Amino acid sequence: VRETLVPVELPGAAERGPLIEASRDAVLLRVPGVGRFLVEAKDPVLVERATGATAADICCFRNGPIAAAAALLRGKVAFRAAAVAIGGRAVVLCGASAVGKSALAAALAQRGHPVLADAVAVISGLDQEGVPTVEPLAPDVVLWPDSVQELGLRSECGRRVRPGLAKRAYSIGPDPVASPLAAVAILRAEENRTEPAFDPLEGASKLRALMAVCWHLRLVEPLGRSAAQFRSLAHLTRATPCVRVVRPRRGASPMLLAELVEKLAA
Amino acid sequence: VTARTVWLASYPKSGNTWLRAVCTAWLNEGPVDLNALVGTPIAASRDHFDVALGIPSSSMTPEEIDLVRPRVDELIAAEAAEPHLRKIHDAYLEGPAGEPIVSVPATRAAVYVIRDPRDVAVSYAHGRGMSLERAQRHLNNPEAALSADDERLHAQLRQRLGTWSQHVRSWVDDTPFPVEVVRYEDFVAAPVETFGRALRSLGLADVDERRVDEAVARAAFERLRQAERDYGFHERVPGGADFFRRGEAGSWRDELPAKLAAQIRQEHGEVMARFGYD
Repeated sequence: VRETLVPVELPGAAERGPLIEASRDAVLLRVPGVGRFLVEAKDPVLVERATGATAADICCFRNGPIAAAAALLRGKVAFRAAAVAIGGRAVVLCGASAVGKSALAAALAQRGHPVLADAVAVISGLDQEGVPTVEPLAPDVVLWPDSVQELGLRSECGRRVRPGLAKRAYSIGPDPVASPLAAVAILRAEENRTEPAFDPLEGASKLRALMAVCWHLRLVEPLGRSAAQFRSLAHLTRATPCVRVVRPRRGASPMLLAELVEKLAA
Repeated sequence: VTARTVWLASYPKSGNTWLRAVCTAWLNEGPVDLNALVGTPIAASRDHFDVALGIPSSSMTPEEIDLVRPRVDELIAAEAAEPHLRKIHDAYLEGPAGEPIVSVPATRAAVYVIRDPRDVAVSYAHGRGMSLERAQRHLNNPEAALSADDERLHAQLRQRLGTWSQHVRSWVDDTPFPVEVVRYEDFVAAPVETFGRALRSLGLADVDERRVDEAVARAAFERLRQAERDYGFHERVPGGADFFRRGEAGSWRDELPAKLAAQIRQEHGEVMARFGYD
């Protein structure tokens, strides 16, 4: 990341969203109160800080949307997901916002599994139908106070990620290395469910589920990646088990889910 | 920006879900699926925000989120069928830049469901597992908001409510789009007429009395309560009682201590009188 002046708008953008614009070879992200980020296929990411924004504010987005935009520009797939390596093979943990992905990743890290990613999981090796591999992005897991308490962590051991937010980053578990993808787990919370359960996905429903967890799909077409992205996801659909992990809406501890995900990986 | 959105707005525990259940029965065949009501997800859905913008709301402050929520409305409206019904509990207040919390250009109209605040207080206390005294104070707190504590990542974004009176005034007075006000008490007393009026104001075609009667029957309170018992309801607040409890108008008379009822009357009397709550 290099700090410099960044344009307010992206010249020649084919997609102009409220916070993200994209042309064939660049993505511009505007985060209110934080700054503007210009991401291209090659490093560095250019950043112009908003007035009053701190270095921590900038860093907070680096392993999330910035990493995802860079991955897309480099022909990779980015999921809104956490990822851990279990026995040297990666399990990607997807699901709706606030479903408990980070808490589950932290619970798995406490059981000795390295964390590969928290906010965004980048999958490479999908072109030429290679081995899908999860790249290590952020060994820290970012947790809110309720998860910190539930996992028995000490609040003061966490690093505040942004001055205005209560969530903190924790280094738990061994250092990660790039790991071949073993499975994609899609978390879902349901009413009237008393115990967590697996629900394997196959065929078209699997492909649809994987598309639904991709980061910001609306950028794929303006970046000229529609066909390649579809090929990548189709390859992933064939090559990788995908399971819906349905948990009770209340009372399913991250530790219990972690045991279940370990079984899934095995 | 296309004005496609019709807001189903209310203070919490005021009949919003009942209205959405009738809309669902109107638009669909068969039993009403409580966990797939029209108008959901709520306007403050965190996941909707994150998917629409590509920037995680969990890394933004509530003020930064409020700045861009109208833009999310516009993105969603642009891709929706018309009329696009959306549930909302936020008061119609301005965000940090002076813009309303919802996109005005993306809004076609709103239906505002109002309920006697004494019944709201009782229902709110049961629904959230809090005392009646605390519920009464909540209704009179100008800083009241939903999903506002930062102890956890809520599935919903922060929603400012203000006091009950502020909430009503914010939607009913000087809103720059048509707002149809319907009373919960009229849902109970004259359901076909009142729900029919609401359905017409939502822009749903062919609102004839026989079909409204049939939709109201399929979304009858007893059926909704049974559906919650059978399948659960994902909008129930953790720690609270069943979402569908009594479904009556005026039950505050035997559940709310006279002192609290008088307090609410004193704090909200002006708006209560406007809407016939004496």
